[in-house]
Amino acid sequence: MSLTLEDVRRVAHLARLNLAEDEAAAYVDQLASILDYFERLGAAPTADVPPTVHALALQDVLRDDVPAAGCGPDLALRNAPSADQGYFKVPKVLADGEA
Amino acid sequence: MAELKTRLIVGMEIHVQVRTASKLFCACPVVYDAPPNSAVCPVCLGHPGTLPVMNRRAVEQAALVGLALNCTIAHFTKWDRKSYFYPDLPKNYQISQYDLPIARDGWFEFPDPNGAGSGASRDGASPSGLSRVRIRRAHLEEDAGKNLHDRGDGSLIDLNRAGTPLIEIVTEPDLHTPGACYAFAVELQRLMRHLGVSDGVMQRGQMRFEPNVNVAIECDGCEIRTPIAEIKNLNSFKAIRNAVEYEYGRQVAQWRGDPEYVIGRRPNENRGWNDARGLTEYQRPKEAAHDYRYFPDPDLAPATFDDAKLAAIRARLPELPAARVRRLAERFGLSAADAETIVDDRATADLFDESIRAGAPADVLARQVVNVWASLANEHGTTVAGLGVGAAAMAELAEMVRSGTVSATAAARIAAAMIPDADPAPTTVTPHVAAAEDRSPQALAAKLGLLQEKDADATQAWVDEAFRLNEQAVRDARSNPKKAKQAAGFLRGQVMKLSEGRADPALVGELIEKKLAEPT
Ligand SMILES: [Zn+2]
Repeated sequence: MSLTLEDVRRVAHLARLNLAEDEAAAYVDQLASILDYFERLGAAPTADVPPTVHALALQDVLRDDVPAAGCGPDLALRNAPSADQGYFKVPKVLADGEA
Repeated sequence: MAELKTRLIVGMEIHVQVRTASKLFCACPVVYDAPPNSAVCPVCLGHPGTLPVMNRRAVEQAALVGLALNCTIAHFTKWDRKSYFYPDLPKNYQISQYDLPIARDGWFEFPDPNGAGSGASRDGASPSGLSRVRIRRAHLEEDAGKNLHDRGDGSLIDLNRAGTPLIEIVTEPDLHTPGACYAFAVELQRLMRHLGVSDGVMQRGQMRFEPNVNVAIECDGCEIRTPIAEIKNLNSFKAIRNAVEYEYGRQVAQWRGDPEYVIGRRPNENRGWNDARGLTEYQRPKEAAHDYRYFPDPDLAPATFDDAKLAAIRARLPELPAARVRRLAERFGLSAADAETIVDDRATADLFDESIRAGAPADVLARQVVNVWASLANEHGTTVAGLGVGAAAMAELAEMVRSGTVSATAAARIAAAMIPDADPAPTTVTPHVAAAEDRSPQALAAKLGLLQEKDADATQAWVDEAFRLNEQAVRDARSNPKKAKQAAGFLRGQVMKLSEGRADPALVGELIEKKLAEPT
């Protein structure tokens, strides 16, 4: 599996990781060897195997729509690095990010 | 430059807040306008070590929406993590659905003001002025929290909305006029309300429409398409129409100035609608789907729908609004606009049908619902059904007008007094009715002195009085051919006014005609 420095930078950006120049270079080889190892899975015969979408043989784990009180604002904000008037306070965000 | 042929292409993405009591993955209540971070817990705060558990009601409502949109419901559906970094999404991923959505491949019809077929691209017009939009998919995902910008040196985050259930609906690009986009949105809101899935109040963000707009341009025998712009921040139907209209013109103009402004050569982009300035503003390039690094959420089990489950959900489907409008129009001869006003609110439409079953004459009842009850509902800040007047009482009032027991004007005053907690005699000079007394229309008509006066002598006295007070109108009615009709109408109005709505309009007309014919 060939991986370029560009690939590593791109993946790092998507994960919001700041990599130094030498770190990025080192990860090119390390990630490539991990991916090579996974390539072995490609040799397994899977033509008759349905795709796995979940690690556990569970389905329909649902709860009834009954509300219950949460932890309350004081506890929620206790670990926040910064809070203001009951809100979490974070560094200014520019672009909008609606779901 | 050669004559351009352009065609607008719009696909719609819609987020609908599902009305549930609790959030999608935790039991925190779904609230609006509550103090910040008052409805949160470790799950929706995204703390490590917590596990989400899916809300059954939300899953069932999503399937119900899928069925109403004529979709195929997946027998097997799962949830995926969509990675993105934003402080109103504390897990750094949104739980959504990627390749196995609950619903896919459906269609939805709406009354199209631009003529049937202007919305549909596949099989064109459907009967009775409806256009069809294909539905690509509908899936269930979680909403993000709220981010308050412009608060001093930072952004403030309220996570009450984080983890509340959303249905995302994606259409195929089958809308081709701004008017069709508007009408589609109105009809979809009506559907969500009818299904009881959402209140659909756009100003509260309960329904959020995001049109994906581009333009096909035919020039010198070849066709190009402009890059797709996804428009954000639309919080009214009017904004949807105006933003699409603006974007249509903007993209054509931009292509005229830049021949490279073509899909694939210039990036697709997100734009925001600025309602005050009436234009869209560039926000950022649109990220490609693989940047979100979707993968199955290992903490959530897949959900299944077998035939029995689907049948149970299908049994909850009510008559859908478009079909209901058609039925009211065809069966009772209502105009489409009147039928739509009645069907707008499901409880009101149910009340209408119930009143008909209770014996109300359909034409009178429809006029009263649209003209009288709807404006009373408006005054009281509620719906017609929300006024608390029963079907039997509504039917009785409609029948009283049909039989001539009271006039339509008097009926409007009686209607106002029928509302529980209303002052029963707000505008009348007759002695007021005690609050606990009978609010049946018959009793109120008697108490308010509004029973129609069939007595010819009393009516004659009002006619004589009207003639005495309006000499000019009488002269015009008798001898000015140009004004005669209008003057006679004026006199009829004056008699009704003098009688405080009690005179029988037919008798009044008769007596006025007779008196005008008398020699002066
Ligand atoms: Zn919670």
